Amino acid sequence: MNKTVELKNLHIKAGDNTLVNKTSLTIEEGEIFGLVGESGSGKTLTAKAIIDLLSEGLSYRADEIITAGKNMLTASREEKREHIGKNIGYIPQNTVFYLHPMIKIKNQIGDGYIHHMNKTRKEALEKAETLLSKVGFKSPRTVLNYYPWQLSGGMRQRCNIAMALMNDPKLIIADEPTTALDTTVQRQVMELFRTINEEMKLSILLISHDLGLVKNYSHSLGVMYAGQIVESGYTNTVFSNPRHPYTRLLIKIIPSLKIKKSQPLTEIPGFVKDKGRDGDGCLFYNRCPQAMDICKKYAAEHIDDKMDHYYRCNLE
Amino acid sequence: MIKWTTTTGVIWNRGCVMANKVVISAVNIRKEYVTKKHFLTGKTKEKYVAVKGAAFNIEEGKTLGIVGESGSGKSTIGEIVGGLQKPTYGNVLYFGKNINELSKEEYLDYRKSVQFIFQDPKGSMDHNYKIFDILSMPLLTAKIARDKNEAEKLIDEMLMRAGLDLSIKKKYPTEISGGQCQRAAIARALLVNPKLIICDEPVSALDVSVQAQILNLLRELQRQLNISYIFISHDIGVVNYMSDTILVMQNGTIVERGEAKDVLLRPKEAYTKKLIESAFMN
Repeated sequence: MNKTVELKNLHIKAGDNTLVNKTSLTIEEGEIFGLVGESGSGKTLTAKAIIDLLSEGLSYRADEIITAGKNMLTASREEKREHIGKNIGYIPQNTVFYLHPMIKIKNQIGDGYIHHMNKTRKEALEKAETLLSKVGFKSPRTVLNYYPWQLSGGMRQRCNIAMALMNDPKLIIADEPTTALDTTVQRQVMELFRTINEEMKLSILLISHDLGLVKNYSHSLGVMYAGQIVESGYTNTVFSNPRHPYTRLLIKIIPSLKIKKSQPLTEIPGFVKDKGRDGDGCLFYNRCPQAMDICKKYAAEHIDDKMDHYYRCNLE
Repeated sequence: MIKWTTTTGVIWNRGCVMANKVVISAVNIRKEYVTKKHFLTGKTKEKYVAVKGAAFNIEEGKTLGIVGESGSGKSTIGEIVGGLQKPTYGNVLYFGKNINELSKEEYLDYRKSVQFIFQDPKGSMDHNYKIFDILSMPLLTAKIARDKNEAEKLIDEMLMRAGLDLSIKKKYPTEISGGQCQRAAIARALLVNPKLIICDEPVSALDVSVQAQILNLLRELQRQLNISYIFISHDIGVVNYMSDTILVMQNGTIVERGEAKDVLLRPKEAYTKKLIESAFMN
């Protein structure tokens, strides 16, 4: 199977402070890859590094970054720009600020398509109409004439999805696409992602802090903690046999309906480390219930080739 | 035992002895917001009804959970019960007395006994003050402590109870993490010996690993101090864990109510079923 994204050994630094360390991931063609982690764990930074969108003041280095068949480390600035514009769609978390509130949907939805694909406005509007009906609008023509502030959060997010699909991308990066939405709307949007993935065979990088959501919708996933991927693999494998203590605790920590109310919830004591992320030791050391002395200096990496299950822990 | 009739919101007692004292009861609360007025006469042309005929009791030491989507009127109910907003119709009773008819002392006691914890811990604290100032202010205003030294003793005790290090007193809200800040907000709410705390999405802005810590803390404090909670959240798993009874709200109406396990494990209303289905639970 072809790989849409191949990332090896990514480091991101802000000045001297390491934010992301030793992160590798591969996204195969036509799969939904879920990236889970708490806030500040470097999920968004990793996604932005893949498409070379890191903000100023952040520097990164990596052994390899291949996005949709192009080596991003050797390409020039212009090449990268054109390649990303044509092949990658980005759906942000904040639906309110992404669309310009004072410009009608029809005047902003086609901009990328016209620019990168050398099309006319008319062609762009035709394409937008078909895509808007695909994402679930019954009368796309009226939606095109609306301003973003006239639409609800769920409708705006669907416009964003249609906008990301305009150039027939190979990869869509969805950065917490449903965090600002209600649970019932969240379900609709996620079902939409699933149909897009199945019908158009494109890969989706789904960034989320909600483990339950990723479990339901992704084919494989990576769990990030303090700037490192601590465990990754096929979703079924990881959930049936979680190996890293952090993943186990994360699965246990979410209150389900079957929970016994008389018992206190399992908690992870302490807080996420935001400094000193560049050492060789395990970063979960000070919060881990099964920590050993060796974890402070060294964390072993295990890769199971057959099942594609990776984890970073000294426990066997 | 208490029975409700949902349509009119009248509370009636079926001749049984109540097991627990009722701290607050809401009787047929309706809240309307005027969205359009006539430009000359000021007559209401359009209004938006946020809450329609809500009625419930909150017993001592128990938790009432409210679930629903955004815009369903969850927070409005919390604010009306806490006295931050006035209902258009209906009454809030504090130990059986209408809050509009309380004497001045009784009203101050009511405002002291009903405290809030909000969703965004950092937004609910003034960034220009240190944690100690933020926590001592309610103590001095409510005249629970006579001076700063006395306040400091109470604050130290409460911070320890909330699982915080005492060095936090000298820090500003911007210097500490979201979880620590929410603990400080809980400590602030508890300092004035409240009988009811209205928790308006207290863990939605926090990470899952911190969420469990805060929920455990709230439950532990309830066990120790016998406080009641109104727990407002859109997260069904969290509400189920925290609550004894649950109200499910849709567009300002209470569509289903009852014991937590009955409502969430055997939902009757289609809307409740839809809510439970859309939540991704393990």
